[in-house]
Amino acid sequence: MVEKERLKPGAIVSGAGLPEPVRLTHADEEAGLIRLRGVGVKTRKNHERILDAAGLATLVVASNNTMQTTVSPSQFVYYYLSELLGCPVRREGESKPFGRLHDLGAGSQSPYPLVVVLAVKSRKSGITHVPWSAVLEFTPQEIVVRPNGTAASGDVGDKADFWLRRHVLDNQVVDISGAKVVRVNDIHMLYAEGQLVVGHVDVGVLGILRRLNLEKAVTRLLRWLLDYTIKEEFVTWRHVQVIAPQGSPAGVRVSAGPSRLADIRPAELADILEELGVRERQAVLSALPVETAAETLEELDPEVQRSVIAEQEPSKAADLLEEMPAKEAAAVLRDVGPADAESIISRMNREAAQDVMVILSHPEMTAGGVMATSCIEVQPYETAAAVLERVRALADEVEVFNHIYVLDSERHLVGVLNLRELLRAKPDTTMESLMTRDLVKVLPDTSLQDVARLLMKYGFRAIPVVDKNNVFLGAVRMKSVVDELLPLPRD
Amino acid sequence: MTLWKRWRVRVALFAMVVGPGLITANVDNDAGGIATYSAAGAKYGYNILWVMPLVGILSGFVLWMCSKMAIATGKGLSALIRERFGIKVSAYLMLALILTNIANSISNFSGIGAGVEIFGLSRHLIVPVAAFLVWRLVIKGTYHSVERWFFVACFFYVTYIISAILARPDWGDAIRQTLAPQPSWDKYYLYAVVGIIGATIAPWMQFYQQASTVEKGIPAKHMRYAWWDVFLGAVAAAVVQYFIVLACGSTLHKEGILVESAEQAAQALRPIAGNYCAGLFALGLVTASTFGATILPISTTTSLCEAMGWERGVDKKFTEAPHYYVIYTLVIVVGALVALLAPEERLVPIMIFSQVANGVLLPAVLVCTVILASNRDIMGNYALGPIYKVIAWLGCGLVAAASLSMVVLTIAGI
Repeated sequence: MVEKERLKPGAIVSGAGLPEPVRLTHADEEAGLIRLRGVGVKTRKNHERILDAAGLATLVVASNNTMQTTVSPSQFVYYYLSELLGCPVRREGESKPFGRLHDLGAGSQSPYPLVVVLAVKSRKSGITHVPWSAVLEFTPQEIVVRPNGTAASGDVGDKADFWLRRHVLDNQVVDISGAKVVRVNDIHMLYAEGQLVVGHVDVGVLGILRRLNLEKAVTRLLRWLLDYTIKEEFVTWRHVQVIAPQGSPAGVRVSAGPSRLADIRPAELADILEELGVRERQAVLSALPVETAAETLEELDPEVQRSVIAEQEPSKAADLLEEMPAKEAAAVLRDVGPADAESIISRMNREAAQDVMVILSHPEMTAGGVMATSCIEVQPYETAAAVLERVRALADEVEVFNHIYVLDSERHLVGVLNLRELLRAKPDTTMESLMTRDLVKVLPDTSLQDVARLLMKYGFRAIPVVDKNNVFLGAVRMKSVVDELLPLPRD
Repeated sequence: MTLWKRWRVRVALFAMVVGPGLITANVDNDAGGIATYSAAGAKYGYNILWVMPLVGILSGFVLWMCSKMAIATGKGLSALIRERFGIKVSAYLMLALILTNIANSISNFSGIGAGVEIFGLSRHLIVPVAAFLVWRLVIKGTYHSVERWFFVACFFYVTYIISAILARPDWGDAIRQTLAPQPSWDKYYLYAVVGIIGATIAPWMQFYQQASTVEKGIPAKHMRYAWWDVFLGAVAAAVVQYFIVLACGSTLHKEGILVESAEQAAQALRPIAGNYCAGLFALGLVTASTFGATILPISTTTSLCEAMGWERGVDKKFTEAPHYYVIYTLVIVVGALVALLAPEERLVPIMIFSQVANGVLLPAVLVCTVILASNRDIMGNYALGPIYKVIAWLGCGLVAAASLSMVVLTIAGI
């Protein structure tokens, strides 16, 4: 490894993909990358190159102050996609280029995708696909390809899992590490050992300026005026999830390797979905496991929820809603309009559909409209040990966990006990002897304000809902009341 | 389903979808627009009435394409432009958009100032207060609740209809001139027609229409309800424009009074048509300018951040979305300060510049719109069909030609 302090301004660097030896004016290092800026020794043109720090291993440093450093051009050279696009492509043996580089197709097998196909655009024959194996020389100034390598066009194009210009550049991708949607301003690529590899996406202002050919002017102006340097903002490809429309407009799928989206928390996934377009959203949702998709759906803004559900096939929408608590599913169905709601409910399994219909039959801002229907229900004669066993089994499914509701054979609510009382009880005591008979309960049409008052007054986590005949319907949780009455401010 | 139930379902769906089209088309009658219509009405009277319905149809068609794109893709216009045409095209379009929008913002804040002065209030007091309130709306995250009020406030534009009725128009003549126009094709008349087109169809309103439709989350299968929303908006806006011309044509034109701005029109109306007519006219100006001043900064900021991929939205902190806050604040501060400090004669070059920038930007945005809306890769089954495509190119060609000739005429200094 070269000592960094020897890469001082004044050093002469050659190779590294530079068209001519340059005298360094500037070198800075960040995130394992070294950015060299220099002035051409002969032409006095400005040049710039970004190197992997590892690439410095091959820098040969001469003695004393006028260092002669060289980097083997075949190793560790970085290019931006923007400087490669439009580069003339020539067949070996011909004197004139036959077209210009239009796009690069990459395979998604490895974490850092390899470029497998070149799309070359010519005025005469439109787009020609050239396999990477036919590339003989590769520099931003000129690409030379084997003459017979350009024959079969259609088949070679299919080898690409996605196209860098069409699907990534200027498009939105998901930055997994930051759990956010970013727009790709440029793509930073590594050329090493005869392979071109996608390394980073550039999401910073420098990328925009570079593509407007304003990078030098603006960076210089800022440094001169304010002594301010704009920082590169790169996202490594390992953290990039491409969301690319593939083939026909209808068939959008999440491409580029196994989906890494499942690592993101549902609440953050929801923020991501809200930033995406309609088809991209559906693609991401269908790439997620159905439980994660349902949790994500719960976290979405109502407008986005509505659009997502309405765009789904009713049976798929039904699958998603089945995974959600009945109260949340009902909230979504209220938004999609009566016709859609009916067709979705008819496709849900019976149990889930019934729960949802019960909630939907009550107005939104009442106990019945927000109650949770999956609670721990027990019979008066059951023993603590048996109930405890049931609670263990149900622990994952029930929404209301702190309270145990004791119902008679006709589902009349006869008593309540809380989890603490159950845990403390001797194993063979019956529910009848443990439960509180003095019940605080509400009717389904009780307003949420009244429910909130009761919850505050008694310090309960949840309050049972019964109909006029004291038949148990569900329970309203403190959380649901807070969600409805004190919604978090949205944009 | 019974007929009654089906009807109820339809009403519910329409209520879900309605809003963006109605608001956008109405807000388009902002300070600059009212000034243009008043001036045209004062100068040419009923003779220019026939333009209004035609411009309404054109404007509705343009907005409908944006609405369609929003529903089919779920993306804003600037995002689609960036994805389809690349960074260079979008960067230059955005630069033009921000410049015209700042100029529009200036004209709206001075519209507020001029309007309140008619009621005897000081513009030096009201304009800063208005600017602060507008700024706070978004920063405090109350914009969305306000947007619902806009919907209600669209009915404020009725003031123009009442003030036109108070001006006692000659209805028979007005209708005759609308249906069987006899335009006099000299260059000043042409300039007025072109000016009306330019004032009605503005690039920012395309961006706003699309962004607010996206935000509504309207599913593609309910697209025809969105069509009704756009249609109603276009009709409402065209009716208001028609009545502004009618009011000025029935009074100022008969007396031979020429006006250059909406506040001049309101003041000139007072002796001829009475205090109520003038007061309503001025009230309409203040309302319209306030709407414009509220929506322009937010529309500018959203479009720009979307195109450049910057974080946006008030649920983000300043450190997360610095561009969003800086641009938003800048548009308002510049708009209000210039409107307040620059004397009126200094505003004229700004307005001329704004018209020129607008005239260059509009054709470019329209061309992008038609290309995007007819692209099957982007729009799927909702792409414009062959017949609509021809109509779109013809309509956009007409508007583009009009706005470019506006640029030429403005630079030539008529």
